[in-house]
Amino acid sequence: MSEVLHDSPTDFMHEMAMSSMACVAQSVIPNDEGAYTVACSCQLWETTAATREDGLNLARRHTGSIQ
Amino acid sequence: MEKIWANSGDSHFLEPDELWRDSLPPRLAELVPRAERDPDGQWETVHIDGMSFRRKLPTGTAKEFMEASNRAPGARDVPLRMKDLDQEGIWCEVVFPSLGMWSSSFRTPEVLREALRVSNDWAWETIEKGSNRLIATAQVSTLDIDDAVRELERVAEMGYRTVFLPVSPHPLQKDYHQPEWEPFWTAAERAGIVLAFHIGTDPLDLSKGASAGIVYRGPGGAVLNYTETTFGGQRAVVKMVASGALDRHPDLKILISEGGATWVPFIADRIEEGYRQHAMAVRPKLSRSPREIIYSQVYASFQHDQSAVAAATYMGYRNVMWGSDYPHMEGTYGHTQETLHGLFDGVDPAIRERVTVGAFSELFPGMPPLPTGVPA
Repeated sequence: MSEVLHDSPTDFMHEMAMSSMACVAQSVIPNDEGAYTVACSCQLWETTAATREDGLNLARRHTGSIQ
Repeated sequence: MEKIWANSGDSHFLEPDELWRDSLPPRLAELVPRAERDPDGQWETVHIDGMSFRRKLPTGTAKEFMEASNRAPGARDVPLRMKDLDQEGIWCEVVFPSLGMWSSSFRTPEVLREALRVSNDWAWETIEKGSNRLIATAQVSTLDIDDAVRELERVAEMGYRTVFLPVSPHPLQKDYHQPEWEPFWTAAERAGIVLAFHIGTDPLDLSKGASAGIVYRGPGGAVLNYTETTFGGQRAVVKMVASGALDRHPDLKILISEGGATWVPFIADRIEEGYRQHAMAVRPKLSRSPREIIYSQVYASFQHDQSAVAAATYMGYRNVMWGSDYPHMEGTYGHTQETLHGLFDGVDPAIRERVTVGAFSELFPGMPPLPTGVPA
């Protein structure tokens, strides 16, 4: 089952904040240029991607989950 | 030890994880929140209406916290829930949704409208029909006010008595003190629907990514973030009073759940002072005093607050209502009797009755009485 969907979004964001500056969460959000902005909770990494899946893969590389 | 029975103005139910995805047509189901784990099992990605959020799954203390939050057997099962309630000494409950807390993350009005309609139909069949001791809260879109009015009228026709509202509307919608909301207040008053605001539901504009919402980091962060969730309920009341919404609709009742109760006399003081001392700038003028409006139309629930009973005893605010917050971590599950005895032993029986039963029954008349022979 999903664990996150029974948190509220507020709880979700607060949990991210508890790990200050760590790479514990990434967002992939459409931007005005028709691409996606990809950012990490570490606040040191932000990039763009052509598709949402590309953005997620960039996030996975950022956290070392894939090579 | 005497068993104290109490009604709860704040409880929660976990819907089936796939409720929306299984019930909506594919083109809409694709956009509702869904979570999937990475193959390594260490990360989870939530997809919502064209956006994705990936997070490291909790481990250690955080995992224990999450598991404890949903540990009660009846969190997602009505028959098991009633056993829990009987054991804890909780009689009737206002039951809030869980999936709907993500409503502010939607961007497509049609998806939100249809998802909440599915939730309302499900909650009516499962929770309301599941026990005459449970009062399900319906949900409406705060992204589109016309949708909100139509769904409120639909659920009122079904028999719902209360509608859940987040403490602020959708980030893309006007705030509650603006005139655009007037048709909704009118519809709620006309239908006799109680508007139940739940704290901690400040809508987050997740499209702003990591900068969304008020989030404290560093020393004290956990307590700062927890305490911050309280204030949204207070802001909602100030908006409803200062804008004249409650004054124009004297039969409209609102409930602020989980936010404590002692803040109500305090906020009435602040509004009274502002209304009086800044009179030359105050618009609209009210036909009744802010305190009279608040004390007659605003109800507030708390779970552990030591000072909450004093609001009813010494401050003239009678709409104080206890709540269990079942099954959440902040609630009283597992220690409800200890909590109730700590709050009410030695308290005037009339005050105890008012806080544990009376205020709830006034807001939701017709609920079954406490078990025979068992004092409140």
